[in-house]
Amino acid sequence: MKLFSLPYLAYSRIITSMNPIEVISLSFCSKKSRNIIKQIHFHNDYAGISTNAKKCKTPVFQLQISTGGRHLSIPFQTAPRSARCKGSRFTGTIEGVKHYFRCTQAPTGSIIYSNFPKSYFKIVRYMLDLVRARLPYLDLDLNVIDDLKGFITEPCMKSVSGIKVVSETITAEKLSIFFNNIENPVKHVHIESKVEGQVST
Amino acid sequence: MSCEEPTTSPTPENNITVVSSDGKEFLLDLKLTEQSETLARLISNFEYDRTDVKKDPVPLGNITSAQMQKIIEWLQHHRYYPKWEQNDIHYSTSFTFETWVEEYLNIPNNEMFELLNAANYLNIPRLFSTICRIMASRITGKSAEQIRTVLNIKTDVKNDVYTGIPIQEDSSSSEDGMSEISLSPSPPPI
Repeated sequence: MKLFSLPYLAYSRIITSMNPIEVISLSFCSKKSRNIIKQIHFHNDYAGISTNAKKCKTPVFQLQISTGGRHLSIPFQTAPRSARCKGSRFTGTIEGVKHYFRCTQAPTGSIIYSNFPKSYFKIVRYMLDLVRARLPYLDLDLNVIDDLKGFITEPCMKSVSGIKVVSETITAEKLSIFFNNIENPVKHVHIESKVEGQVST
Repeated sequence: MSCEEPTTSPTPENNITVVSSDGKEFLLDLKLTEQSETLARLISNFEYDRTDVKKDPVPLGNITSAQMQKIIEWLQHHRYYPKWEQNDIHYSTSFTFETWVEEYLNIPNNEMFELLNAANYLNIPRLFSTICRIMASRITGKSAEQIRTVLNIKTDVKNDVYTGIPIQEDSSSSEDGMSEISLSPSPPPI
């Protein structure tokens, strides 16, 4: 008997019991498995991009699909040296292109890196699409993002409704670039930073 | 959790007979059937809990005698457990199981899927949820290729475009604090 020969209720419960890293791995098994996963309703507990999740500052996409379950993190950086020693490897096809991933385990979740630099948003979009999740909020130090305009105009940013800026100090120019390029109305904005210069509106 | 199991043999008044797909009859204590929403509803509809009602054998055409035997073992073990709560079904993510459950479900995946089918048919939520979590735990840490083997999935992915880019490493940081990564603690109010 095969997994997908089971009734919907049965295989969907098995899949929603999995951690996000196994869900993405299952989606790489076949096109059928990916399509089936996309039909399942996940309890999306947490989805966001934060620069507070990691010691060395870099944006990290994080997703948790069950309360208390392990999360999946996708740091917006290339794989560090330590990932080569500790991490496991797997492959997966995203938008027709085969990625070679490295995966390391943290106490509360899994962290994956692709062999393609700058492919972070592609993987984020794939993951959000897979579990039919939106990206509701950002928690960012804007100083660690090189291309602010490119970052905030990514298609998955259209669902963002809350932004917290946690930079210690931030220039008015960077704030303007960031907020003037937001393509959707954001309901909640918290700026916990000392702003240098005058912000043009 | 463990519960004491006083030994009570079913009498004609407090039991029903179920018949598996291969024709084998099983005498089931009504107390045990409370764990199966399908059987509990059937008993309630036909008023089989009354002593003055004649109880016809209940055919279970989707369940073999081997599966029925396994299910009865489960029902007997959980006879005095508290009623399964709906919330447990949706939010229990633990992959830790009591020793008895681990031994009980130490069976090949094929048998596990069949037992899951039977638990789904009889609507035994505790068994159903436990099997799902056991199945999920069996693929923890496995790659797509290993998951294909475990879950018996055939690949239909062909003609991947691989551009031959080697895995990029961040040479600037050997100590990267990755072991300290955690879920962002303070999401802004939405």
